[in-house]
This record gives sequence, C-alpha cells and structure tokens, in this order.
Amino acid sequence: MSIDNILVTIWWATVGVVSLIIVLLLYLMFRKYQRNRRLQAIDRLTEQLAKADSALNQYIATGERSRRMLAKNSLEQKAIEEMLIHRLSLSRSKNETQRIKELSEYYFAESYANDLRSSRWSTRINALLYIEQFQMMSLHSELLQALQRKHCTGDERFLILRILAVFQAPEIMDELESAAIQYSDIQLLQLVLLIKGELLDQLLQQFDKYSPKLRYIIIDSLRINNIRTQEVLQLLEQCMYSNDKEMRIRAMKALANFGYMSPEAADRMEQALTEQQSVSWQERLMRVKVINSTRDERFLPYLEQLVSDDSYEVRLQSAQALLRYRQGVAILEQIATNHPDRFAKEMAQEILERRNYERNVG
Amino acid sequence: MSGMWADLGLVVYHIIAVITILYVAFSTGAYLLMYFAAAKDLRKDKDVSGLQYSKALENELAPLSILVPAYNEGGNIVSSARSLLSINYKQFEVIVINDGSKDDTAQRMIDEFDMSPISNRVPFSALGKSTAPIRNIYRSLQHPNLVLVDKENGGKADALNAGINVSRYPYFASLDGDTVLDTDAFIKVMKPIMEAKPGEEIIATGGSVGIANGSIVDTGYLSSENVLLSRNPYVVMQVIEYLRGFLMGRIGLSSFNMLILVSGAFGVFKKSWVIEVGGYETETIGEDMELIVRLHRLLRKKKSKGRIIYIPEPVCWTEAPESRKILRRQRIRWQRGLFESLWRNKDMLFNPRYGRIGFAAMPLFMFVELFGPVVELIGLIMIVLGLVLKAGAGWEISASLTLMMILYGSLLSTGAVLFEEWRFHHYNRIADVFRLVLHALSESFWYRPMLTVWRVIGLAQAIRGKKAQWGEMTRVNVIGGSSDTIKMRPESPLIQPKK
Repeated sequence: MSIDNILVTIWWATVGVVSLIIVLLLYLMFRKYQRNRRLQAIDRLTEQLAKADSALNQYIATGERSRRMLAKNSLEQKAIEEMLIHRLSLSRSKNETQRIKELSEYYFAESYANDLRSSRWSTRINALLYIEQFQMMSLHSELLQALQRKHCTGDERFLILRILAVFQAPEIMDELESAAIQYSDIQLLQLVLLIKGELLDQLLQQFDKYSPKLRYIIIDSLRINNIRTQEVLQLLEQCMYSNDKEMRIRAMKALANFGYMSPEAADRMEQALTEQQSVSWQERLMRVKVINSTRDERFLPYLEQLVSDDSYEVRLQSAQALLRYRQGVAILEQIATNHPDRFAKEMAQEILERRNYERNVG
Repeated sequence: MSGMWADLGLVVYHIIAVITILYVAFSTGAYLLMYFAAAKDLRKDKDVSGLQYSKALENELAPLSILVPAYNEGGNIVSSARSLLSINYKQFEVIVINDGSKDDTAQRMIDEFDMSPISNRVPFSALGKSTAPIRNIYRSLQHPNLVLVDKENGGKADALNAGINVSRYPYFASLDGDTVLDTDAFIKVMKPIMEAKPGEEIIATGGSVGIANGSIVDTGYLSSENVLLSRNPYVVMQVIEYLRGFLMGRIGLSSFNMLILVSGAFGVFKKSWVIEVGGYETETIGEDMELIVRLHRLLRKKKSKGRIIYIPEPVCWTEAPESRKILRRQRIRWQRGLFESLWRNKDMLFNPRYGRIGFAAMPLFMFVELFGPVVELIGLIMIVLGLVLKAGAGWEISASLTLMMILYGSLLSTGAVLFEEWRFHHYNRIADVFRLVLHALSESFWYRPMLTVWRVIGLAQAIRGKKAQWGEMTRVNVIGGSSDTIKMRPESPLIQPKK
C-alpha cells in the first residue's frame, strides 16, 4: 500500500467522519430541544393538575368524576401519571389511595398492557414498575402471559413475581423454588416478605419441603415482618436445634427479635450453654441476643462469662445485655475494676461510659 | 550530498508517518469497539424510571463500611462525616481515618461528635501487613456507627488499609474526603451487588465520576437537577474527557469483565477479596488501579466467576482543577501512576494465564494510554515539521495526520456527549450541549496536545524514577490524588518536576 493510497483512504474517512459529527450535533440539539419542550409542557400540565380545584384533585378528594378529566394526548397522560404517583406517595387515607388506583386503572391499564408487549426492554420494565406502584390487579393475566414469553429477561421476571406477590396471587407459590435458584438472597427475600395471610400459612405448612435457601429466607422474613404467632414460635424453636449451622443462626436471630422463648426452649438453651461445646462466634453472638430478649435471671452467670469472650462482637453484646438486668450495672462495674481479662475490663468500661453519656444527654 | 541527506530524511519521515497513521488507526479502532459495546449497554437501560431505586431502598441490603481517609481536611471533614451519616441506607458505619494531619482534623471530629477513645477495638490485622502506627481509635457517643482512627502519616493507601482492619462489615466503600455524593449513591452501587445471581459474585463496583464545578451542591450532596456546565474551558474539556473515559472506556471494558480501574473517588469492594490480595499497595501512586489489577489476578488464579463491574450512573462528583498549573501536576501524576501499575504487573502482559486481561486490557492500557502520548507527540512534531518544510509529500501527510487526529478525538468526544444525552440528560440547556460539542471539536487543537506533552513528561519521570531506584523502592509518600480526584496537597519532592 503506497503513501498515496493511505492518503486517499484517510481523506475519505475524514469526510465521512466530519459529516457524521455534524449529523450527531444536529441530532443532539434536536433531541434536547424536543425533550425540553416536552418536559416544560408536562410541567405546565402537572402544575394545573396540582391545583386544589383541578378535576383530578376533586375526584381524589370526593370521588366525583367530571368530563374535564379526559386525557387528550400522551403529554397529558404522562402528567397525570406523574401526578398520581406523587399523590400515591403522600396519600394516607384508604379512600384516596383506592381512588387513585381506580383512576390509574381507567387511564393506563390498556397502555401498560401494550407496553408489556413492547420490543424495548426499558419500556417493559417501566410498565412493570408503574403496574407495581398502582397495584393494577386487572393486569393479572397479562402479567402471567408476559412471564411465559421468550424474551422475558431475568429483571422482568423478577418484577413480575414481585407484583404477583403484592397481589397475593397463588401463582407466586409455584415460582418460589425456581426464584431461589435464579435470584440472589436479597431478591428472594423481597418476594417472600410480601407474602401474607393465607399464602403465608401455606408457606409455613410446607416449610420442610423447601430448599435450604428458601427456608433461610422464610425465617428471615418472619423476623423482619415481626410475625409473632404460636406457629412461628414453634417453628423457630424447632429450627434453633437444626443440624444446619446457618439455620440455627438465623432461627436464633429471629427468636431474639420475637422476644419470647417457651420455658422448654429456655431450659434447652441453658443446657446448651453449660455443655460448653465449641460453637462459632456467630452462634455465640446469637445466643447472647436470644438471652438478651428474654431477660431471664438464670442466664446472668453465662452473660458474665461471655463478656470475656474471644470475639469483640460477643463481648459487646453480652455487656449490653447485662445492662438490661437490675443487678447488671453492678456486675459490669465489678468486671470493669477487677476482672483478670483486659478485654473484658475494657468492654465493661466502654459500655458504662456510654451509658453515663446517654443518661446525661437523655 | 545535501540532496542525499534530504532524500534520506524524507524516507525516514515517511516511515514515521506511516507508523503514526497506523497507530492512530489502531487505537481509533480499539475505542470504536468499546464504543459499540457501550452503546448497546446504554441503549438498553435508557430511560428506566427512577422508581427502581426508591423500591430498592425499602429492602434489606448488605451492611457497608464507609472508609474516609482524611489528610488536613479540618475545614470540611465534619460536614463530610455529617452528610455520610445521613445517607439513604439501612446498616452502615463511617470510619474516618485521620492520616497524621498537620491540622486539627482529628480534634474537630472529636469535639463535634463526642468521640471517646475505645482501647479495646484492637485493629486485628487481617491484611497481614503493618500500617503506620495507630495512635488511638475513637467512637462517637452520639452515633454508634461513627468511628475515627487517628494514626501516624502513612499515605492514602496506608490509611485505607488501617480502615479495612478496623471495619466490621463485609463490604467497604472507599471515599475521598472531598467527594460529593449523589443522593442515591450507595443504593446505585450496592443494587447490582445485591442482585448478583447465585454463584456469581461481584467483588468490586465503581460508578461514574462527574465534575461538580459550576453546579449547585446542597448540604454535601448533588442531585442531577442541579448540574450545570462550568464556564471555564479547562473544566469543560475535563467534563468531556470524563464522559468519554467513563461512559465509553469503562462500560466497554466492564461488559467484557476487563475493567482495570475503579475510581478512587468512590468504589465499593468485597472485603474478603481485598484482604486476600493484601489490601492497598502503599508504595504506588495509583493505588486504586493497582488494587483492581491484583483482584483480577486473583480472579484468574482461582478461576472464579467473580466480576468487577461498573455502573454508568454518576454516583459522585469531584472538583476538577480550574487552573493549568494544577491540571498539569495532576496529569503528570496520573501517568506515573499508570506506569507503576503496569510495571508492577508486567508479568500479566501477554500471559495466557490471565486471559483477556493479559491479552486485551493490559495491552490496551499500555499501548493506548501509556505510550500513546509518545506517538501523539511524534505526530504533532511531524505535522509542524511538514508544515514548516513543505517537503514534497510531507505536507499532505501532515495535513492528513492533522485531520486524522481531529477525527479521532472529536468524534469520540461528540459520541460521549450523545451517550450522556441518551442516558442521563444532566446538561439540560441546549446552549450547554452546543458548548460541549464545540469544545469537543476544538479539543485536538489545544487541549489534547497540552495533555500529550504532560503525559510524556510524566512517563519520562516515571521511567527515570524507575532507573534511579532499580531494585529498591524508596518510599514515595503521596497522599490522595487517586487517578480520579484532585487534591491540592503538598507533593513529595519526588514528584516535583525537575527544573
């Protein structure tokens, strides 16, 4: 290839690129212009809608529809959508929320159903996010269809499952195991946390049939949702002595949150503490948390022992737990002055110092 | 006789010209590839509603330790800590590491947050390397999740290592004291970590860094509505440069799991992995890049499915230099840092054990980023020579080279502006966009040559420095100045350009 050839190539490439830059610039300016105009228009509309006497607000407040509420074009639709989302986040009364949902149904159900079939991923995702926000039960069957589609990505599938869980749709129950395989712990937890009432009872009944991962997540969800029923208590006390270490830790964490232990479980706990078997620091930590929640006097000597534990976290929790007992402060002061173990001493000092500070501030 | 010399000169000139042209074509090609990879990615999640983050916030997330190394930041450390304590996140701790400041950084923290010394939090060294002596560790009595580590000066990497030793949670974020965060920064960065598929592990994430100059920062945060384009031409050029680097280079590299740079201004790491590779390297300038390269090395060694990913969303903002002098200093330092990282890991280059990192990412950084400026400088000299001598074909070659350079720089930059518009719409005024594109066009005539010269100086200094300390590394104590942020800090004598 001679220099001349190279030159000619470069020249042509240059001409091509320069035109490309010009086209890009024009396209950019045009897009910007359009977008700004659109945004301004939506802003204006939203402002009108936000007025107290707007037809929309009238309806949300009183439930009376007026003819002025028709959305004439996509801009108005967008403005109404934003307005409703905003109102939904502020609204506290059941009636209002109900009306907002009805209204969103009336305006958008059809267009969201269309969006679900769009070939663009982001359009589909947005539709799902809005359907979830407005809780559009009417799209239930469309969602199930979308779930079956070939191009349904992992993100979409997850959003659809989350919506089904919000609806308490029974279909969610059959999807949990596959979700446990496909999604991370946090995502699975999001789904399970939404399951309530009858479906939750089902979940507890079939607890032993599920995979370990799903079982852990169910236990976590009971803790986070603060579910305190006799059945849950039984389940937790049973899982506390499972052969699976991870299960034991999670069950104890949930039990600590439950704040109560049956007398039989307390006896069993005491036995476990006296046995002195070597368990991991995480498990020791959870034991302290369980004891801490019961405030049973018989555990005092064990807490005292655990203030000199090898693990910082265990020492911290035990010292804090002691504060909740009537004679705890005295015990801590004793440890702070003449405990042979330096770490125990320092921990006790730190906890007492913090307590004094908090009392001064409080 | 002189005719022969002239002929010979012309031949040499031609040869160099061809090499330069081929080089430019090669690097343009490499960037175009990454460009398309990025375009595909960006188009996909264009315009996804912000609802996704507000939803994510309602969920349980992994606890996070936020490490803030501080050196002479008495002026703003309290407000930085305060804004971090109010982040949108469930469970986290903030660890400020005072790296032997000469001002009242530590005292201000102690006074402001009622810090009391905790002697029993013995920083056990998981890292297996010593850090500069720790004088004391304090915990705030007002905020149980605020810790201050007061230590002797040891440099930023050393401070981060001390922070890692003290931290309690499985993930840590490294953060510069002067970084302004996006209000949802932590959610944006943690979301992909939380949603990693079972069996996949995300060991580090970084987000885009934006330039805050000219924008309105509100109580230590910057939300995207308040982003404005600065009037300072140096800053506008850097905005374009950042857009280009982040949006194109990193998204492209990340999609092939070849990202070898996570911003020091803001990155999140999985602690166990960082501990396994021995934490930050204290004797290097670009400690953040160096760490990522070592993480990749470990990933390859373990044949792990771990990934290092990049979030295109801007999650933090930094102050860019507004004067030539400081910009020059920064760029010389970056180039040195780059050289050091590559030099330290030179065994990975073209090593089949390291797969695409060895065969694609490293060579790309080496030929395009490290030695690129040298070739560009030669090109610049050729152009000038050609124009001055007007010798035969030299003229045309110079003209075409000039065009080639303009084409190369400006197209990529304009493309980056387009990506920005597609994905984030931060600059909402038409005038701002127009100015961005105009600056992008002017880039090749002043900004790029200027950078080229500085980067060559940096490279020369790095190579000379290597020769001087062959076999033994003397301790370079450069604090801050990661490869993405700017600190107005006293430089060590080693960094001062030779007069």
